[in-house]
Formats: sequence, structure tokens, C-alpha cells
Amino acid sequence: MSALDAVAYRRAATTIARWCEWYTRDLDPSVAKARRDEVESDLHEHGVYAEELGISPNSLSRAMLTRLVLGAVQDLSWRRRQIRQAATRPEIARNRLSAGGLPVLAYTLAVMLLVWGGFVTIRIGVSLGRGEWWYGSDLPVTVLVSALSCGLGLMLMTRARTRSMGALWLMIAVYGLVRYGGKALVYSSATYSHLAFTVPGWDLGNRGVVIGLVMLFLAMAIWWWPSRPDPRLAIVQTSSV
Amino acid sequence: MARRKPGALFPLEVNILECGLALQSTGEDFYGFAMARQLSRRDDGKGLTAHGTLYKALARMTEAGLLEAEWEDATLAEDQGRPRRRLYRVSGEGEIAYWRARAMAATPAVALRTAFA
Repeated sequence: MSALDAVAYRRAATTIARWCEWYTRDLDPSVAKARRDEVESDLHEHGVYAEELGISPNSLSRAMLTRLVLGAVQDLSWRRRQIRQAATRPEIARNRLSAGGLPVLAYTLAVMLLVWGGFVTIRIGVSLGRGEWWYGSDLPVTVLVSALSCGLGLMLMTRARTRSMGALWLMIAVYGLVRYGGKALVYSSATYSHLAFTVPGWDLGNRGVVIGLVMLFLAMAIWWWPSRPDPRLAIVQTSSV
Repeated sequence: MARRKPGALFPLEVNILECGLALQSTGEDFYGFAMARQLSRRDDGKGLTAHGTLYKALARMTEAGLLEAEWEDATLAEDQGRPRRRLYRVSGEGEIAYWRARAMAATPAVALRTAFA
């Protein structure tokens, strides 16, 4: 049996072709096609070369996959270069923000908010356990629901399809945890109540944090809102293949 | 990632130009896999250059005008029952860059010897 017909060779070739499809996605169709065709030719020539030398299909497959792995970073670097060449300056700035800064900030703040929610919930729980909580159940329930909303929002934000919804959930969590969580701590933490009553502008700062975080998560929700694929783009891509 | 001075070539690019000129001088086709094979032979059978490394370098060198590239006639490839190849050729500019790189590679050794003389 020819090396080109061996299962091991075909599997490796399919893996490499898929990888190539992945890193050339959304690129200029002519550039993407040129790279795929070139890699396809390379895989074929590699198979023929291995056959001439009598290399076993398994060794050939290993060599092909090694070439894939060793060049993967360069593939991604080439992709980045293609994207940058195709993009205009405002697009580059926007991509940098959407790919790095803002999402990282949103995720970090969401995690911090969850930690804060956990802390306030535990603090209220301790006060309840000691029998030191005399202020009704509204605040503990609000904080607990907000902490759960925060956890849910964070979970939704981990998936591309639902991250916009996650950011919206976090807006609710922000209000509940920062505003009502603060109030709950006034009743359950001596340090917090001391700060709240002695530091000038504490309440104003608290409101500022709430507004700032709500605005940020609203902006992220809009930014991440799933967009419909442009039908014109689909036509261009289909016709160019 | 390594940064380079303007006009300077990476060692891989010098090797590609050298192997490309060698392939051209023997009348062999210069395409991606032929280059990988030639580079491997040059390095005493060391593994074939990774896809990403090789094709990124070839693309970069083509953009820089060191290589010229064109797709092989599809009918010819079909007749031989294989995908068409992208054929490269070392351009005049590429040849000049190669000899300049060789000369530059030779210079520091002399300078070093002079410095320690």
C-alpha cells in the first residue's frame, strides 16, 4: 500500500489541513487559499518523498505532525501579520482593545466582585450565626442573590456566545453587591462601619464605583453583543472559493 | 521574537537564498517542500523545516522582493496527479542580498581578530 493511502498519513494530513483552515480563517480569501494550497502541496510532496525513501507511514505521520507543532507559533505570527496588514489604524486600535485590555479588565473586575460577594455573604452568615444580625432578611437575601448573579454572569462570560448576557448579569450583581453589600457590612463589620462614617465622601465613592462598574459592564455587553453575519460577506466568500 | 536591522537577513533566509540558488543552478524546481528537503540535506539530514517557519519565511521574502513566486500551471499538476506547486525564484535583489549577507558574515570575524590582535 502507498504511504499516501495509509491511514496514519491521511490522519496527519487531515489534522494539518484543519489547523491550516483554522489559522487562515477570516483572512483575505486569496491569501488564505494560497496558504492552504501551498500546505496541501507540501503534504503531498512529503508523502511522495517518504515513499521514495521507504519511510513507514507511522514515521511519516510523526514527522508531519512534528513539523506542524514546531511551526505553529510561526503560523500564528504570520496570521497576525496578515490581519495587521489588512486592518486600518482605527481597526488595529479597536482590535487591541477588544482582544486585550478591556476584556481582561472586565474579567478581572468580575472575579474581584465575586470574591467581594463571597466575603460579604460569609460576613453576614457569621453575624447571623452569632445572633448579631437584627436587620431583617432583605439585605442578606439581596447580597446572596447578587453573589449568585455574579457567579452566573462570570460563567456566561467564559463562552463567546453568552458573554454579552454575562456582562448584563454582572450589572445587576454590581448594584446588589457594592451598594447593598456595603450597607450589610455597615451592620456586620466594625471596620467597615468605622470607615463608612469617618472617611469623607465614602458614600459618594461607593456610588461612583457602582456607576463606573455598571457603565463598564454595559459597554462590554454592547461590545460583545453577537452580530449577525453580513450576507454580502458570505456572498463574496462563496464566490471567491 | 528576534528583531533585525533593516536590510539584514535571518540565518534561515540566507539558507533559503543559498539553497534556492543551488536549485536554480541545477534546473530543479524551487517550491516549498523542495526547499525543506534541500535545507534538511544541507544540515546533514536534520529534520525538515516546520511548515509555519518555512512558509512564513517564503512569504516574507517574496513580499520583500528577494524571491519571485508564481503558481504552477494547474493542468501540468493535474496530469501528474498532484496538487499544484507554488514555484519560487531567487530574484536579482535576492541574489545581491545573499552575497551581501555572506560578505557581512565574513567581516565580523576579521574585525574580532583585529580587535584582539
